[in-house]
Amino acid sequence: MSQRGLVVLLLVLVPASGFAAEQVSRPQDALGWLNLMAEAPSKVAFSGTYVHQYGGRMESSRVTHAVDGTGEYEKLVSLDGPAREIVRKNDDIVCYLPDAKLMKYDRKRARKFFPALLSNVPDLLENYSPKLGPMDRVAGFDCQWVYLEAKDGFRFDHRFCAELAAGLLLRSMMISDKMEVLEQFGFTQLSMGSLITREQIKSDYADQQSAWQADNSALRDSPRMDSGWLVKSLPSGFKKAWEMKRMMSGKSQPVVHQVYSDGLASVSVFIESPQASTAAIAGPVRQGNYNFFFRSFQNHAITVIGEVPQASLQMIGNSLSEPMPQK
Amino acid sequence: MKQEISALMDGEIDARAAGGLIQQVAHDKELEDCWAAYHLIGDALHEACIHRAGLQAKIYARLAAEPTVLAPKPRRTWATTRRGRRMSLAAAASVVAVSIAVWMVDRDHGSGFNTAQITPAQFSSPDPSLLQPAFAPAVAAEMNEYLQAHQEYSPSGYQLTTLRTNGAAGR
Amino acid sequence: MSDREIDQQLVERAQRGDKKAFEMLVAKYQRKLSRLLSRLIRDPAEIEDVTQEAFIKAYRALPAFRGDSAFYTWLYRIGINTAKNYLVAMGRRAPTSTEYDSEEAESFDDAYQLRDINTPESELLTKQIAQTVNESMALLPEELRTAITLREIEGLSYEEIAEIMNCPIGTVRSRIFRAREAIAEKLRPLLGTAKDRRW
Repeated sequence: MSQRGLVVLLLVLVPASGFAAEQVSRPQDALGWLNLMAEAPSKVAFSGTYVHQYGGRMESSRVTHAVDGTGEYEKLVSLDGPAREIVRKNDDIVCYLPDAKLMKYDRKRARKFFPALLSNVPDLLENYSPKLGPMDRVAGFDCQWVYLEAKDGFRFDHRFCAELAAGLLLRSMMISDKMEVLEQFGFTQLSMGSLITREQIKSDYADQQSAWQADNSALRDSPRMDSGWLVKSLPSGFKKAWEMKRMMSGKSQPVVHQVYSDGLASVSVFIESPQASTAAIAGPVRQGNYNFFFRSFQNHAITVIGEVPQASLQMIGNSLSEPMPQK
Repeated sequence: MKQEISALMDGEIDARAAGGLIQQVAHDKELEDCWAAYHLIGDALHEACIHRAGLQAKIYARLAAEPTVLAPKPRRTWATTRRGRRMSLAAAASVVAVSIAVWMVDRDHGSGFNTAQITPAQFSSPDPSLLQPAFAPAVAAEMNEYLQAHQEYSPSGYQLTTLRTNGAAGR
Repeated sequence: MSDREIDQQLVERAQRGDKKAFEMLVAKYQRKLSRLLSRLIRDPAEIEDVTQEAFIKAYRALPAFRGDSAFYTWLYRIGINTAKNYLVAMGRRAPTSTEYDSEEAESFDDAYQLRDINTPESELLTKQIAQTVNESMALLPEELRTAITLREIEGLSYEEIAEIMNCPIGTVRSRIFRAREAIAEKLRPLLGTAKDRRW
């Protein structure tokens, strides 16, 4: 679609189904709540402020989300640190970086934006057991906790708190096997179902676009590629979600980047020719809340990283096989 | 020690102690041979003995060549001593972070945790790219870049922080 | 802790990547499994191959073992399937009297004589081992012999043995251990030292 299309569309908001007067029958069990949480962002309009905590950081963002017959519209504004903004319509994204006067066009692909963290609920059930938790209150809304307990030691537990009326995810946590909160998202302020105008979804920098640089490179990259590298032993439930070649600082050659996911957790595998710096580390490393695993294999440097236990990284990192030589 | 192997094979040892003992057997050839010898005696007494010399060695050799199987069960253990909690408020980088930190930690009662048990591990270091001192800065920077690249695709949530302003990295 | 609980601990350790724990299970069950498979396969060299295969298959299948059954029944089932597949691959069928499952496997007559199946040399070694063990048993002081007999042959717990022998449990534990060590000492020369042959 046209790159200007994002800022030209008219937006009218449809109030969330089940909001206010309508009574929606509440889900009876954890699975019902999960399904509701997965659907809510495509049905509910909302705006609010949420906090994301991970790896020693905490970042607040302001989100405005609208839904109409043509899809979902969203605007995300960073409240901490350097100014950043993302405007999204369905799968199309524009990132505004005012400090660099740069606009980057991209596609959403496999990425998820809070509170739309749940999708493909049936797939999740293979690896996680749903359980109902207690009731709570977040940002002024009553909500219901749902736990997703890892069925094995290859992943961590997750917890989600769903607003009662429409099932919007209000707070989520990922919890390690030592009962530490590794990552969480949570609304600190929220209003739901009100009409949202076009202005509210438009970027604050929309008028300045002509003076800024536009970066289309993400759109031009081949969306998926297959390097031929295979992971022979994947922990159960993990599937390859993405693969690409990317340039990274200080490296003269592109690096193969594969992403494996079980629907909630993900593992990245980076494969490259050995560089001077990577030769220094080998084996498992924990940095902040992320586990890393480094290995050299057949004249390549392998880096595996993910918000999963070491067992998963090692199983993946140790079972890579090289591509078959091309004819 | 060997007496404990004897008790272990009869199941006459406390379940918790068994774990530690098995660990020792794994690292001590003599103990491992002891375990095998006592079982051989048991089998002989049962006349269950069909003894092929070297079979056990052959099986061990094939096992050594097998890729290590991993099928860990989920474990949930509460961490006992935590420095993190006290450091969390002190280490928070900004006023906003502090107030939200208090909010996040104190609100945990609803999620089933009580605040004494949960330690937001993320607060223990205000600088997320702070690595153990053993890593050279170049290495630390590299690890950080892998981390950012990973976070771009992590389904646990895309956040604005993964946007990088330098055009070279990431594309 | 029951026998099943010991096995469960060993399995869980193996599932977390501890190969030695699986080796301990091999040491515990390899002869029993061979004996079981000898009902299906006559040639001792083939029994050996199939036993090996079965253990490796069990190791690879560890992620699928959830502890619903005892480890040894699960192992025996794998062993029997491996043996059957082997026979099919060789173009042979298992003896018809052996259409059984692993539950039956456990109730086999302990006095089953294997002489017609063993090769001369392994039969000799088996005989020597049995002889050494029996001789050592006979030479043991009476209370050690009683303790180990009650434990190994009768399968009684230390507590039950303590009651029967009218002594503290600690004494039972020590007697059984001393009996085993005494026999093991006589066995070790037979099996070679740890250095030259892992038996």
